Amino acid sequence: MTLLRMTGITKYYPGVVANDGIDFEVEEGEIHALVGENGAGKSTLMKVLYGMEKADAGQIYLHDQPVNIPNPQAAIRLGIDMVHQHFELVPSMTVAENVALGHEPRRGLFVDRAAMLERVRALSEQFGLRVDPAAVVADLSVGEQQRVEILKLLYRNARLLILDEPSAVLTPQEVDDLFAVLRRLVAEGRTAILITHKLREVMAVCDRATVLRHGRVVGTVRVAETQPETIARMMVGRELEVIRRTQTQPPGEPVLVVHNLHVRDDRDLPAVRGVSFTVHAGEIVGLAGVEGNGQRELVEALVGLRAVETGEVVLMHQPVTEAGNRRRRALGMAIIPEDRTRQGLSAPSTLTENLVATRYHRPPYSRNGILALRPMRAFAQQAIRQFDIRVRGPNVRVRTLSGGNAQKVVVARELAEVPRVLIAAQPTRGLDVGATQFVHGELLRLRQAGTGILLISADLDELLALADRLLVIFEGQLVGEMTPETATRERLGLLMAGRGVAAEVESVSQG
Amino acid sequence: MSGQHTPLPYWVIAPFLGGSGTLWWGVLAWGVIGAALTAALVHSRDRRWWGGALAGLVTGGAGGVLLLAPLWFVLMPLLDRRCQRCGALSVATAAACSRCGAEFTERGWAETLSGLANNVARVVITLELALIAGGIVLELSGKDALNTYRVLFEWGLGTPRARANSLLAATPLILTGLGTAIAFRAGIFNVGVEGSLYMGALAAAWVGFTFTDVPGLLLIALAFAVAAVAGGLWGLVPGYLKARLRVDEVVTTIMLNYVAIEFTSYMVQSGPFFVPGMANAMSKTIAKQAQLPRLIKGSQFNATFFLALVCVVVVLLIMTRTRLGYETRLIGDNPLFARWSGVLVGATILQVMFLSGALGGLAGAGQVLGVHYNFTARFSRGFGFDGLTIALLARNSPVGVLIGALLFGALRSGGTTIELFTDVPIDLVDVVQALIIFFVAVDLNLDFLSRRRRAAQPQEPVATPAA
Repeated sequence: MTLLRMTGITKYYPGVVANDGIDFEVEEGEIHALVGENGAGKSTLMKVLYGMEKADAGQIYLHDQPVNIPNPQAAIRLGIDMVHQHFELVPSMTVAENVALGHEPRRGLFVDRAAMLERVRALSEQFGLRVDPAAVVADLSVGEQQRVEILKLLYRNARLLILDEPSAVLTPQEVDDLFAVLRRLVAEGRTAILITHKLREVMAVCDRATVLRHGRVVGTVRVAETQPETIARMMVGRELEVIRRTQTQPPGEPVLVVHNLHVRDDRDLPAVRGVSFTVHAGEIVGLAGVEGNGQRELVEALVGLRAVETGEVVLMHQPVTEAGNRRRRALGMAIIPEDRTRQGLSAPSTLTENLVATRYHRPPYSRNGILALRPMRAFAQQAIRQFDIRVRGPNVRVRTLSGGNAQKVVVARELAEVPRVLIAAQPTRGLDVGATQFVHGELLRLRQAGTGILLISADLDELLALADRLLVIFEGQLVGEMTPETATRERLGLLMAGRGVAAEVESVSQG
Repeated sequence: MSGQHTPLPYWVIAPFLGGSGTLWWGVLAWGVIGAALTAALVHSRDRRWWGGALAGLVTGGAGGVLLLAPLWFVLMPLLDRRCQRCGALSVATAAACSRCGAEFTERGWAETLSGLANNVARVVITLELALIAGGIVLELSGKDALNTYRVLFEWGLGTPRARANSLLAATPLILTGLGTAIAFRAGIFNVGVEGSLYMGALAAAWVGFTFTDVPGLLLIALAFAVAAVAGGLWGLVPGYLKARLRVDEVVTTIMLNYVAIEFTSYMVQSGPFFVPGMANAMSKTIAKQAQLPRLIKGSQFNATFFLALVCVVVVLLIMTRTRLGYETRLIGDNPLFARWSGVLVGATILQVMFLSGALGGLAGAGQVLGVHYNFTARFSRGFGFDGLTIALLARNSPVGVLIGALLFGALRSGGTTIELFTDVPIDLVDVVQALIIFFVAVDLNLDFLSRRRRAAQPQEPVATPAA
């Protein structure tokens, strides 16, 4: 039976049709995937449903009754609730306090703590959401925090749960746990909409999938009867070739050598604890690991933005342990930073200003302190053509670009000249299939051209497809090294979670 | 791309189009506020409301018609954009062709124009609102607000001499405004231009009364140069602390202002520059040939003003055409990105702080060489702090600083006469200035809101399907 029906939903933004007459149906008791590339209109459609945006045309029916949802409060009253990508939790409060926030059970003037704890505990048992109601949220892992978010929705009696890219921050094992929770929800009579662009998740847990492209519905399919390639084709509107490393090539000279590196984080705690590895020319070294295990500090130390406690970094046979970012770039290092919007780009600046940021200080872009605007502009136009950046021109502000386009700007700046060493930190995070493919293609092109690449990623598929060698980092130490041929998702997942450390360390020391 | 809509007439949709929509409302507000002001002024003269209302309608309407009509019915149609692909005409503010959906690749004239007009309207409206609020304060305290304003404007702008005095008052404000703006643009909240101004003034006076054998022009140039270096070095102190030791510049610059003021006072009160037998705390008079001549009879207006104008151009060129300007804008827009791109952030901070202080030093030298002809302890009437307000009002644009400084100069210069001709204390001018700061703050907040609204929208038209 149909729980939700949205008909003819149309939403204009200035100059853009975000949703163009979308019809969307969700059955009671199913997990329905809403898939599509970035900018396809998934989020807009869900914002309309959740009352955050008002549609310009169209109607929403719940149980075949027309409903009006002017704001999120109205949506929540109707039993429609959403887990956002960025959690909305109070870190200093307990799980139960967060879950009940704003709807606390009361006894007279006071919050009835016992009743609150009991209700949250009952809910967490009913739905298999393992988390201690008395724990403080700040102490929880990301996966547990997500469970708290879901509990919050259930506490507010949500019947239809919208989850916006819920797996983006989880380890493979945590994703499996999440899927178990989703199945349990459905078994208990709830319904879920899963916004995602990961096909694996659609295939693993969803009953049906609706594919959006360019603000329109391409189609709705039963997942059990559909091949993943079909859904991928529907998403991008063309055949997708899976990009992966083809031939093996003998590694060249060592271009980046890291020896026994120790680095402290912002709180002055050890974050990188004795890391050693070598990247050779023409080789992609993948660094797998759950976020927050020292990758950020390692990258910052490698690019010269964080002081090294002890240890050594050698770039192109030059010791650079103490050198700054500019010196390392001069030796041929390029960087695709993890945080695109803050480290990789300057949103208020123009496209040209962003593209020349790593080369403005040398000819032909400036001479004797004076900028040469014409070569800068020519460089920008050339980059726009070469990397197919879809913009109005070199003077647009970067803040107006979509995620995929913005990442193209970063890639264009860093890879316009073939670097000797590339540090690529989460280079495809948040990108859609097409843009991801583009970045992967560029990485392989560089590998071919002899660049030594360190690829830091939380996406195992990406690492398995591209890397010549895989390193696993856990709590600031390398706990495993293997080739993609010998690696399995399970083995990597266990290493990333810090299990099976002893066995791996042994095999590394022997190898 | 779909959604073929019958385009509504341009003048209907104009207020609802992004950038130029704001302009439309801005001009409308300008007209309405102008009408209200005129009505009130006329009423104060002949005490007949209908007369005021009529005059207000005429001026406000004129403002609207004169500004709006040409813009929307003549100018904008001329700026219609022709699509490169299908040749159809779209409205000037369109981002994409209305028929075939091809995006325009160049920034339209309409955008540039409305951006400019928006900035002018913003400054004027801020000032108007502040004057109205100040008027209310005056009326509440039982003074004749409109008469006060009439005196203010007459003595600020009414006669050639008044205008020269306004320019004179604006001169140091242009320089301190520029100095503050350049630091703000780099994201450095430098409150210490006042201190640099004192150090520069003392240095200029020292050159002026020490090297009395040097010929005129050379001595003047030397005095300005030494003042700039002194002010710049003074700015380097908090700059170094920030760049190398990450000490917050707000605290250091505020405290160093006191150090500079007290140090310079000591120098002339009892220190090396103390002149025995002088009743006031001031240095020796500078050499005759170093004294900048007064250019307008009855006013101290002098050539420093033209130096300030040159500085506006120089700062503008530095910001847009030099490596330092690019680095300044980059670390102001996103310091983290600058660091990740290899910009030498510390070195940039040092250069910006030197420049900022040097401009403050020039402002101080101008007062010594052109107005006082000596160094007087505590001579500044908060020039550095007015410069801060002006930089905020101008949003760190050099041309905006010039406009803002001229407005403030007129206000300051007119304000000094208020006490002579009315029973209103000169503090009124401070009240109006405080109100301007208040409305600038409100405006900044509104800007923040609209930026958030923009950020909430999807960022870009959906990419065209791949062939």
